[in-house]
Amino acid sequence: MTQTEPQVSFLGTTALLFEAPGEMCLITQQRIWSLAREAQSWPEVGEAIPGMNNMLVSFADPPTNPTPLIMRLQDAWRAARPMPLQGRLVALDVIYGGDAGPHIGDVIAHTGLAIDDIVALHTAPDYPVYAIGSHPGYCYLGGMDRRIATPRRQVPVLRLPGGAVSIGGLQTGVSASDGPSGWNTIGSTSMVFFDATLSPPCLLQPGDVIRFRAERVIR
Amino acid sequence: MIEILSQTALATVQDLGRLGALGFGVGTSGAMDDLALAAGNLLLGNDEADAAVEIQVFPFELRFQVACAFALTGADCAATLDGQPVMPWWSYQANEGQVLRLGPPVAGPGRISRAYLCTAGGIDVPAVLGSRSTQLRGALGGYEGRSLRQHDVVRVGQPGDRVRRVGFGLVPPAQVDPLLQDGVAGMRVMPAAEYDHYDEASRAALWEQSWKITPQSDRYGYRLSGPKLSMTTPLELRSHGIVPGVIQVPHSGQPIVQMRDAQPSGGYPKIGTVIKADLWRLGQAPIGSMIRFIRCDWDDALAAEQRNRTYLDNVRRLTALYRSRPGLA
Amino acid sequence: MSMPFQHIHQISEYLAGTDITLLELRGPKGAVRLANNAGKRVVRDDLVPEIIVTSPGTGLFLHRHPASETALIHDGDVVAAEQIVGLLRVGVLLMPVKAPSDGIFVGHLMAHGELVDFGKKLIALRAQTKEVQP
Repeated sequence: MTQTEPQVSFLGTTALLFEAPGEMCLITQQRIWSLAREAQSWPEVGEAIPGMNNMLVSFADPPTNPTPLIMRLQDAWRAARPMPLQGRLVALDVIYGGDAGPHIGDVIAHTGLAIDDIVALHTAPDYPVYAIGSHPGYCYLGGMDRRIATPRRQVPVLRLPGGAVSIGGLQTGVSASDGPSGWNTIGSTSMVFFDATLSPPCLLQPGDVIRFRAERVIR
Repeated sequence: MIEILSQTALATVQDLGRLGALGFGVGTSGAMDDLALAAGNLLLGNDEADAAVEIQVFPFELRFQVACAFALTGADCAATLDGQPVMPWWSYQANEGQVLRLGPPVAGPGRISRAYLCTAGGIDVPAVLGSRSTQLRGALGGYEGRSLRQHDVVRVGQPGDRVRRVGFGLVPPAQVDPLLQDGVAGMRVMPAAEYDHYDEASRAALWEQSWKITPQSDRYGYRLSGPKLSMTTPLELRSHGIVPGVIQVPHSGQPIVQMRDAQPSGGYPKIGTVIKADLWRLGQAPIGSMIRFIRCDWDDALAAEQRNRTYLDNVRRLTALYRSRPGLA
Repeated sequence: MSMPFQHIHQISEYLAGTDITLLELRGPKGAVRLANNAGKRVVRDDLVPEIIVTSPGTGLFLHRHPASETALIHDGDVVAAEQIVGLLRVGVLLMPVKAPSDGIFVGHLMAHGELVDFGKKLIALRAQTKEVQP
């Protein structure tokens, strides 16, 4: 992704995808948040949903001619200032390793680091919630230390439990409910991220920050 | 109330989908054949977005514990009510205690795979985040957030609202507006973001070859088999929002069309999107059958949506007229 | 007049096995003409069987459901009063064409998909009698 202009493409007539140019970074993501907030107020827009340095815009009703909307998005992007991180900081207590983190051995093998180093590197940063997606309440996080990056698993796990803390490539995240995943599970937390009976149903939203705390490390 | 008698039903409560919760990571779900669900509801005088039972594994049996008007749309499953034949796309009044049985979809060139049981007043489950559709991941909506099981008792409509004027039917949209390409079931597709990154042979194959629906196809996605689709240069994409209909191409080069239970974000390259207006055609295409993709643009896609809208408007108008004056015609 | 019609089915069966091409039966109230079309039974509009199903309105007369490949009723089918024996299509709407009384299906009097008016003769049935086993 080395373009200097944002790319806009269609997902049929259901939505369009706006992709910011340049290397993936927090500043770009903060501009995406601004853009999404702006676009959400437009009448033809159903939902404006931040992705990872990109944004999905679903149509309330697809316009006869989408070009004016695209031009408006591009103008709004040029004008978008980075929205500051002003969300809540949520601390998650994590049990690392053991049954809670069945793939930590693979992360150790790939990185060559000791389990305590992995836990130290994983608990060090504050992780901004870039986006919500994948499944109800799931947070895409930025800011993981590259030293603990581990490739996705060759064979996905069919039923990763909710609360699983995992690493997939350069990203880390926490499953919000049971489901399949190709990521490496290194620990688990009991935090509930999604409750459909609450308003809003998600514990976190883009701009909030997650901090992992080692409750226990099973070596 | 209706009681599910079948053991492994894999049937779910669905409506037209959960729109507006993508921002919470909640996908749309909803009927794989939205036209059949909407038309079935209109046939009974329901709101077109009322919930119904989507049936995809047969035989399927249920008992009406209360008298209730109903209609079966979608696949023709040679259904019976207490042994008496039940026509597809037709409205009936079931008496208390009657058993409705659906067999496998009737074989033939027009065979499709999913049936919808619409009931007067709709299937009465609580709306969650604006929809009664079952969202399996996260277990919300529908009947306790899961597929139906033997002995489940599902509420139907309100007392007094379950008796309707019945005994007439609809011409299914597949007969009103068939779409074939060289004799194979067709679906219109708009090119998506990474279309131009595929080599010329792959782009040509997308439109010119038939694609087989593999057994690894379900409400989450349809895995297709056909010529390998290759990129000129490999791309690593960032996670981004997707919608049902998106045709993703994983490393294998064999496309996967995201369907109603697809997660709302993904990272595989996208070669195209089956347009919203034709997603029901794919949702009804049986496993093992062949399909063709027909290239279309924005205007074509909107025109196709308008045709679907016209069909449902005609259904609404004519059924309302017939209910008020059954002598019509 | 009722006597010959109760036996039309039987007579036409016999006729099919012969080289007689046309048989006319006359009674005090009318006549029946049976044509032997190389074993293929033909029901003609000028022939008056006992039960005629007429169109309840204007529309396209359908022998079968648009989603189905098989007709709603076939030769020799026993039909109950109020049973749906055909469909009338108006736009996307399908209306029932019902048998007025019990009977045995003899034949369609209009082709599948033909435009018909109210009262048009659509289907011929004959009364079920003890002599004829379904």
